[in-house]
Amino acid sequence: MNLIERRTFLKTSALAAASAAAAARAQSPAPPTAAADVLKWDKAPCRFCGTGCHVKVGVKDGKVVAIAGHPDAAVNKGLLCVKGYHVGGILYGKDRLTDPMLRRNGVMEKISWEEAIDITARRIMKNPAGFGFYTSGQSTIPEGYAATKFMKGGLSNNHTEPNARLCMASAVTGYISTYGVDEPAGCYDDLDACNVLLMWGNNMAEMHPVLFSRILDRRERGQKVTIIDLGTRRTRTSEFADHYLEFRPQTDLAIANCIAQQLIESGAWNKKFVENHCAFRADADITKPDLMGVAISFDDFKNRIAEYTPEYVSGLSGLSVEQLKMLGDLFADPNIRITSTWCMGMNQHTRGTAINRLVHGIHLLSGHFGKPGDAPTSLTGQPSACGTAREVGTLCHTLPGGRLVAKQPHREQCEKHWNLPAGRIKETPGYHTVLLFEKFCTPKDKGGDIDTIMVQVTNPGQTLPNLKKLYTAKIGLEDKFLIVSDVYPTASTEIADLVLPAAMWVEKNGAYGNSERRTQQWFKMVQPPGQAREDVWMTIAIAHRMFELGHPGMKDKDGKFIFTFKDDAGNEVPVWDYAHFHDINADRVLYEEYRPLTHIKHKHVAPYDELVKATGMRWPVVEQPDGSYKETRYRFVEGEDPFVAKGKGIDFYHSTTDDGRAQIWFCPFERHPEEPDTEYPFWLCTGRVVEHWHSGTMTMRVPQLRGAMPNAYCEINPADAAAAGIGNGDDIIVATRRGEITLTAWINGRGRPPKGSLFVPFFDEKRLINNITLDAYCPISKEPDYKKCAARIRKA
Amino acid sequence: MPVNGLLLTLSPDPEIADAALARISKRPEVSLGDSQDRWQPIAVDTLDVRAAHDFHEWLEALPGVEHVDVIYVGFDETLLTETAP
Repeated sequence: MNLIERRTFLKTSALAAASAAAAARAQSPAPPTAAADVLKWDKAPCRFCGTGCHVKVGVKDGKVVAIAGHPDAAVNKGLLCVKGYHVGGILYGKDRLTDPMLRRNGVMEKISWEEAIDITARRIMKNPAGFGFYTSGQSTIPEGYAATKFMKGGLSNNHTEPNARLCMASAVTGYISTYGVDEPAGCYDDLDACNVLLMWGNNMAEMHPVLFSRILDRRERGQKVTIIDLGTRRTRTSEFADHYLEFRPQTDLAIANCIAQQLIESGAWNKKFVENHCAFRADADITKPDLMGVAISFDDFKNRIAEYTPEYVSGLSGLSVEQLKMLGDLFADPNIRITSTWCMGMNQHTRGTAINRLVHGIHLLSGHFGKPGDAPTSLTGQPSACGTAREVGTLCHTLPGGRLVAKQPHREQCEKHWNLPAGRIKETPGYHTVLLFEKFCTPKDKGGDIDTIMVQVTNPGQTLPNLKKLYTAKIGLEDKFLIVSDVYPTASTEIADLVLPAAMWVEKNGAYGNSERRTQQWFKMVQPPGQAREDVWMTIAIAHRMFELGHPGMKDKDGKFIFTFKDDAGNEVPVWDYAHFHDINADRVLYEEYRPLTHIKHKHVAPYDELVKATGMRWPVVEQPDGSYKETRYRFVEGEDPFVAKGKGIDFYHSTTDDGRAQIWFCPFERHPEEPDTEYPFWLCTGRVVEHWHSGTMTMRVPQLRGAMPNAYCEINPADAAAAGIGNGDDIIVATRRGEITLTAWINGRGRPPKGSLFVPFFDEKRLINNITLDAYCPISKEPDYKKCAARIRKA
Repeated sequence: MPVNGLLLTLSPDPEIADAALARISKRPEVSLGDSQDRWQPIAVDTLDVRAAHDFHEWLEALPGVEHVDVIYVGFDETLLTETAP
């Protein structure tokens, strides 16, 4: 086919995709598909955020050459954001890692895969208890499951963590301490049904733009949706909001309490809902908060909440009394539907668990729960923070399916499922992320008992807080060994001792789980470059090498290797030998092994073969009498959730109090541990931009995205800039108690921070803002607060 | 040479929408699809990324075009060779 014919075909495909989207928007029948197509198309979830948009991937001559929004995908209905429609470009940066590399005498040298696997296995064998496995909310479900089984079931080592500790851990503890089980009850359908969208520190227009477009689309159709942006700086989201409510950092705690206070004071709380479905709870000792707290009475709750009057909270938060009363009045109105959303603004918070609990609490207290459009829903930042990190047990205290290492029955269930001897799984939780890297970066003779870390599918060298303490402090320490599997050179590979080249996205099979409990599957479509290989293969190959070397944990109780792969005829396939890895679909085997483990918490994920047919299914997915499978939109709601018995209405069937009740928590407002002062007078907030995804490893390789946003910057209020003699575009020094970096000042730019605050994105590896962020974390979720620390500025 | 599929949301006022569509249809890089209510699908074939970007901005500024959604992006292999700086 010549160039002109090829471009004609590409234009035909482009027009067909746009025509299908037009029909979907107009709610008309889909137009006939284009005639012959030069491309081979298949489906996949987008590689980036937790929205879970589905894309159509066009392949020609072994390369991804076109991307289209999937018109049949319920999440995005054919639309994509600026990152999504360039997702194909992430595969083809010219500096892809293509060979295993070992650092010898300070120089990285190519080695074979056999040597790389052997070095890793022997290193772990040397001190199995000192090994940490750091995975990701971008790991696929089979990758995360294999890592969990290898570590907890094989090595008897719970030092495994996902990077989701840094982004979603507070949402997890909020859900568990409120409902007794993780993940949202509602779903994206709420965005199509709500009258009010209340975003808590959530810049949805830039971070989850396709979800935000669902709301804007409703407005374009003439529907009335009130958008409230409760934030600490003006963003693109604010521009679309009916109400932009700017509060002082950390005072979201007081604002949520103020809504509850008004509901109680006015008597507008939903007495029937609360009486039938809720109980009250608080920390026994606020100086030592824990996950479960103690029961308190309604009167106790009422007394504790009483001080959070609009007048008092106005003084704390900076919101006016009228704005606070508006929020109180909205929740007091039973005739509207309110959806609350949040992401890192509430989760990356030194009281992240508390603010999550409080937002759930005001929805429960007001009865704005369980009806379409009435829901508190956290949004995830990574494509499988839910499906992998939170569901397969990669957190240091968890096991697959919402189980806990601390619970003997849960350990026994996994040991039985994995055919392991009793007692194999250790009961003590491992180190959480901050502690894991702190131990790694501490000399052994000073308590640094982690000597080897393997990193997969994430970039801690850029994304950990306080990097000089938690990452680069490793440099020069004796007997510390860092293994990093990645697709491009990064700040993480920069100091690694062994670098493993990885396959990414449609270069491998995969499955993700998005923010609304939707599990999504895709097949490998193109070959990875050079010697790059699948992360799940790496884990299995390392485990098998340890089996060969005689590690007892790599054997099940019958003496066989802990991972078993059989073909349809029942013959074992040695997938640890890469020559045979693709003889069967190892993902399908691992996923189907994992699937029964999801039943204990009623998270029944869909069968793999059902996912192949769909653009994702929301769990619990339950087989129907006719053999079909049905997904669930709303959990805990009769008629929607298959596990709520008829006549129950609402049933929180995993209640922490075993009585079907959710918990309404009282959590007081507490000040931030590093508030601005005379020495460091600014609040410093960090975050993302619409063009780049997280550390920019992928999006900075896409010319269109890199060109649109090439460098990190520092947003400053004009008054602060003037006072410091700083002009737009000037180089400035941003300093905190942990160091300083040079950035370009941006005044009245995309985001507009209020006086006394700064914003810096973290995508730019040349300007590592996390060198100076704070590593303080929520005492319950252990999630660090990247949104607040004290800083000062000066002209460079 | 990028090939993109775009979905335009046109003004609810038919006169303004028709005027916009008339101007768009004169652009040589555009192929028009069949409209559905206010939604107009188009394919755009430009010489380079800069031209695609400029055309997108022109569309967004055009009276009668309320919104531009990108639905499809075709990649040109020659563009996909970037290294992070």
